Amino acid sequence: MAALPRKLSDFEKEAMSHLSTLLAVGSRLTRSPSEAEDLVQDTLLKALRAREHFTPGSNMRAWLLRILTNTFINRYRRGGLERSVLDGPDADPLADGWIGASTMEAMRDPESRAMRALLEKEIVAALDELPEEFRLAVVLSDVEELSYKEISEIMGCPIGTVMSRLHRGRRLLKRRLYEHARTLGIVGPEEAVGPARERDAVVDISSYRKKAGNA
Amino acid sequence: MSGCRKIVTVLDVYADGELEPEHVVEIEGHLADCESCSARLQLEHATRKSLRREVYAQAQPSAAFSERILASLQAEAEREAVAEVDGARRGGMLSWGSIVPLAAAAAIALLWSAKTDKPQAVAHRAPTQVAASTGTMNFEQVLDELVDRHIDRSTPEVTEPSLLDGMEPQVGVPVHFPSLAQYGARWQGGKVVPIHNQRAASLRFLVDGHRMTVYVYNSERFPVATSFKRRVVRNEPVYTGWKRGYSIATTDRHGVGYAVATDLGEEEGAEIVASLH
Repeated sequence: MAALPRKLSDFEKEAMSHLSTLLAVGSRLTRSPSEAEDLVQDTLLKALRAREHFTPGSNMRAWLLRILTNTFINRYRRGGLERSVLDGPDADPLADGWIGASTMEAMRDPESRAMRALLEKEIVAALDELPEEFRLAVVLSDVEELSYKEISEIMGCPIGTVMSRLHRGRRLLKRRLYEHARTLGIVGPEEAVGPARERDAVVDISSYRKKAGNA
Repeated sequence: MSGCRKIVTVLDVYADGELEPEHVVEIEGHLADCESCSARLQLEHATRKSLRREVYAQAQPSAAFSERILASLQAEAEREAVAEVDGARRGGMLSWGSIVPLAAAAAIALLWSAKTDKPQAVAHRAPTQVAASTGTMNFEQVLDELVDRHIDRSTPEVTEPSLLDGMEPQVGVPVHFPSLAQYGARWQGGKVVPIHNQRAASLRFLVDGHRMTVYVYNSERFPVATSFKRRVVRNEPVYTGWKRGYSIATTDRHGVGYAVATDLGEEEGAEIVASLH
């Protein structure tokens, strides 16, 4: 008997509305268009099978992203996300605040549109070079604009770890962009200020985060 | 300037809107006075905006992809509907249609157990499968059929890897999608095929343009070819040989048989079959 055309259920409709989100995040996780498509397909099938665990009205995008992350880890990374050697205590001596104001301005608004396009093209390549734990944190926060709490649930780690991965990930990303901007001649050389001094300033970023109830 | 160092450390937390309110006041006071930090904040925002735009621009779902997803969700929903009907049947009254093959399978399992030393392995696997009398298995004939199915170019029934698990009731052993990406194997699709009156899962791949079929079956019913060359790959015994110009490599893991048929060499087949589990 031939299958009758079936109307999509509400669940399927809502899940399909997150297709481009899942593909965008999946593409950055796998860094391969075809693997990203397979990952998204697996994710949605798993979501369909587990739909009774989804609370209607809650954030389906975050729920789907959690399934996507777990599926990725189970399929490609049995031991969890690829860790970074930088994920220890300050193995990256690159200072924050190492770039001067005029350089930052030049990177933000290069003089020509062509330069801007070149810099923007580079941003995904720079992102793809980050270790997975940093890359996923940056995508979930900067691209998907999820809260630290949601990211910690998706990645299965404490909020403090999310903050540290984000901070380091963004720092590496900016360094890459800065190096690229220098190669393109958008910015000039910077005086390296800070690295030695920066290391003295050990700050527990987590203590600055707003507490629950203050929101 | 002295405040910059502290501000810089938490500037991204501020930009994320997750900063403790008392620090927000402090940071905003500083930003009003410090050109450098406010440029830093603007760069922070500009970078995120570019990132958001580019990440989405570089991964737009194609129409074909959306269709593929819809089709696989549809197939999954249908599979569930069928499973519910089956479940209801199992839980309630048995229809004559299901009793007859079950009884036949039970009779054959008994017959089989009288002939072998492993009765329970056959008895609990695939109870609904009607096995023909196996008697003395002619392995050459099995090889012939494996090659025939390998050559067969009909379209696969299942292309969604995660749906392969659904072949388990028919094949009588667990069927999982083998990860062969490290060998450059491209997944084509799978189907359940009859081999010597049994059913096996046939999983088709392309390796460097060469067709390769991975079979998964109940190895209690297809004894490993002792006439084949035995070798040890990755500490696992693997049997390899040739049939009509195709190399066949087989192995057995806890009652699940695997065979790889390909026109690649014996070595490749042995390596791939050893990686399956």
